[in-house]
Amino acid sequence: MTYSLHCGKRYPRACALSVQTLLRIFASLGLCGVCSSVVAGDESAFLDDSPVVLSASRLSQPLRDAPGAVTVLDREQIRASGLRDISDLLRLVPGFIATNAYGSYPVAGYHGLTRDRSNRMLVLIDGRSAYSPYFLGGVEWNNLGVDIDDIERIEVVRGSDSAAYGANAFLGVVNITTRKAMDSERFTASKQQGDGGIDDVSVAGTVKSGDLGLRIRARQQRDTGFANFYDGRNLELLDIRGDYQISNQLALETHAGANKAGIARGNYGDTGDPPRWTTVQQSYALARLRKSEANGDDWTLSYYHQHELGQDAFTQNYLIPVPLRVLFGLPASLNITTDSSYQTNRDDIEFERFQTLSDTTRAVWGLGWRHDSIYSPLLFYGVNTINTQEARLFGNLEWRPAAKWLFNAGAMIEKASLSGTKTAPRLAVNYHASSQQTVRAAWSRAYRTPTSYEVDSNTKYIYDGKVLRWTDEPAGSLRPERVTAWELGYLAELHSLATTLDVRIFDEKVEDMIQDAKIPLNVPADQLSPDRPEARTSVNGDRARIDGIEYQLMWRPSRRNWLSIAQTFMNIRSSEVGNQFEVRNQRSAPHVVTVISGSHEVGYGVNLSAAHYRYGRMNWEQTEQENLPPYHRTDLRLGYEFGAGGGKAEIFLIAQYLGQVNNEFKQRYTTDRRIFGGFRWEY
Amino acid sequence: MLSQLLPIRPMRALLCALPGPFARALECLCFAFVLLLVTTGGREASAATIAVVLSESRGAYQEFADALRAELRRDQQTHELLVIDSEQAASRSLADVQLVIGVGGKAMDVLAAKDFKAPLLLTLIPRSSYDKLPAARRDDHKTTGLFIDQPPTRYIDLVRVALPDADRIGLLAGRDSHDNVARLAQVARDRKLHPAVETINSEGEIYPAIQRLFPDGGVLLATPDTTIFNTQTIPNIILSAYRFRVPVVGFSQGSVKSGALIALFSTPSQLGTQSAEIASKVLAGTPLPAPQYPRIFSVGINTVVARSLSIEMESESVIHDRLDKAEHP
Repeated sequence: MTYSLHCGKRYPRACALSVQTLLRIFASLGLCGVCSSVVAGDESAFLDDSPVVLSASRLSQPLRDAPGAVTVLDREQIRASGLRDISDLLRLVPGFIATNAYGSYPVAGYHGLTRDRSNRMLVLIDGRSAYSPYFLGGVEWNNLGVDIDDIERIEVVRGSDSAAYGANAFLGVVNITTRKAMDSERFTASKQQGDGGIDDVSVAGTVKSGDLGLRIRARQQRDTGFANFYDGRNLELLDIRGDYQISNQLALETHAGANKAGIARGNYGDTGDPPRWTTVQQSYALARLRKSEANGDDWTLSYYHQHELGQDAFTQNYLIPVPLRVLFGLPASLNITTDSSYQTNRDDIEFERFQTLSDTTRAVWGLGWRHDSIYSPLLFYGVNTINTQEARLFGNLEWRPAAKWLFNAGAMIEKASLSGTKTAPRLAVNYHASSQQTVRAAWSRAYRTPTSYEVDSNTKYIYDGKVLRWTDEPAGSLRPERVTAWELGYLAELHSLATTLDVRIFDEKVEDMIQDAKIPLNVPADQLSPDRPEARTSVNGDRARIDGIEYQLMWRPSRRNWLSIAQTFMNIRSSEVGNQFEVRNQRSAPHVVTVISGSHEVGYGVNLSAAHYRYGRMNWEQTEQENLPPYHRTDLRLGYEFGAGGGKAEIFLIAQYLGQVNNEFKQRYTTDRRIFGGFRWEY
Repeated sequence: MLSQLLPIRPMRALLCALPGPFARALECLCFAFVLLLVTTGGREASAATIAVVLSESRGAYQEFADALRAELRRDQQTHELLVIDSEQAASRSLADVQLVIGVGGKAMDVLAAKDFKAPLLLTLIPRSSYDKLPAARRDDHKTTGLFIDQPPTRYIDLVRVALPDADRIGLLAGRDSHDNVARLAQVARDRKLHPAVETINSEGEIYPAIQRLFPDGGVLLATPDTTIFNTQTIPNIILSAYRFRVPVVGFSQGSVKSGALIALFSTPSQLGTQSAEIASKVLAGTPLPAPQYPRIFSVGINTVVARSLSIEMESESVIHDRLDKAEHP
């Protein structure tokens, strides 16, 4: 007998924006174009206005003026790394650690406190949040909806920045900016294949017509995960970016896409977690209108919709405990289908304004609203769907009273239906000791809003109206997690030596961390399942204090030649609240992480790059038996570029995990040497 | 009858409105005054008609005409301005005017095809357009030009003054700008800078060219070649250069708004003012000057871009004055 634990409600239809719809939108906008020229002859180039392309919201803030520590990864660094996952790129950023929580599930985090989910950091792709509202929250790295080749740059805020990015910008913010459609090659194709079942293929084409640019990317990324485990993956992606210059001041940016992550999960021989194929599909559409003014001020109005559909169901033979057999008159065992499929919908709208107030003062402010809807009959028994809302108001004032001094004061006020109203402030002062040296001191407070699962989870395994197992109980109410951080930064940009030194000394106090807790089941004693007398719930619990120093020293005489060393020394102290918690965060990041990377253009089109990563002893899973020994990893990439077919081609060979077999996430997961190669052609 | 001699329409109207004897007395007075003006000599003596042929009667061209008129008035010139557009000029005789000023490319084309005796000043056109005039026209000693583009020396000096750390100057050359780019490159070499030139044949080649030009930073000097730098391409050029953290030096006010770090340009008003000065001299009997670059110019800086690129810059006026001093020590 096979029974479903689902309620009758079916999934609403996915609402991906089709390519055709997008093209229709563009066609309808095609009626207006950049203002017609008022100048006729060859003098037009001197007299006509052209679109404002570098207004405040498009410009990156110089590192020396940033109110926190920021690391920028550009296209050259991304290419030279040879890494296939965006999460892995964070290995290059001081303070970050990354791995795969099983072969098919990447995970990354800043300063530890990360288990198998990246739920204390935030990733934004062109302003779209990749923080999933489902389950424990966090970044779904397999469903970011961006191809690594379309990335223009990745700006990583090392630290907390809820004042600028809102809740969940808790420990680390990764801001991914993709290239404008107009700025992309007409056609690119790439393919790589090799050990570990690596088989990736990607193509992109760009259409430009006057003021309209459209880029379409299709990609498939496959591998088989860790050796001897059922953890392969098959990622498929379609992503479309459109840019339309409506007038010299007004521009429309659109993104639409759909992606599907097929992930192998489970363990051989484990009936509770059998080997199976699961999928997470995501679709999204974003539109951003940008009005730029001649003085560089601008405003943007953005809206996006994001839909996620997870499918995971398996049937297991469940042995019915004797008391329940007697109580309900049930057989010794039943085939029960556990269907943890879910669906989320997110709508987010934001207005942002960059404003020059005076010669010494600039401001950015804005407001936004978000609605999340999570449908999961398994997690939310009897309710099925949880709706949450969040309104936000934010602002930052930058004041430069003298050439050497820069003050930043910012705050975000958020009103969330799950955790009430919170204000996340940030204060920073930058002192430019010289044109090449900056000292920075900053203080901030940031929050992570509890997810619907953490607050409202209510999971019951029911057969014929009878509760066989009750695994999760609602927490009722939870306070958001809170981090209060102090930092002292030093930045030296020694142009004449082509050298940059970036140092951050930090002290981060994390409070009210949301933890699992066991509570006695709130059911009549005769209905208690004897094998599970308790249920899981969430409580505000652990505190952690993270302090240390991280730095990156980079010598980069030219764009494709560099040598860098980055190190993080950190100490995590954790204290428990009550007796039911183990002290488990202290090893959630190594005491020392060292990353040495470099790239060298040998000449004749040959490029050689290498990276060496050293992680000290740590424990991702935070259980006694999963203490991992220190490990190191060396990657090499050799590329040869040449002209082909009127375009540019590169053949490359990548070797990863040279020298040592590592246990990266769990002791039984081993990462062997991996060699793969491929080509990329652009026209 | 005398009133017909009075050039100014309101005065004529006033005379008609007055009773007979008064009118006649005033008319005599005015006539005496005009006589006095005529006989006392001075520049006003040769009140002449200047035909100002605008490519179009709006926008930048109108701004030019307004500045020209204002400058002549400020200089107490009484020349009559006949402001017409290029279409009117095509069908009208210019036999009765003493000087013709052609404003913009369209006006230049119409005037180049027309036969008239008066000297011709062509302005608000780039040098490359002027150079395309038939040699017979250029060498007839009756034609001169006041270009809209800046002298190569000033352009290169701008880089030296505003961005003293810049060593490498990248230039994009197109079909129409080989000569111009070669001139700029030569001046740059003379100034001990390192110019690098990439030739472009289509828009698609811009990005790879910028990539080749700046393996290690530098400055991109935009050149007035509409096949390369036009409203369609400027955004992409600026974005591509910004990606390599390469500042763009532009040649128009619009390019600064768009995202160029700094630009050197002469506005239509400034060219109008300088044209008025040339007109006054020519009508006073000075020979027609040789074709020239503008003397009056502006410097524009995009401070937002400067800050983003971490470039500390002097103010627009300081840079302008330094350039001025370099030219007139």
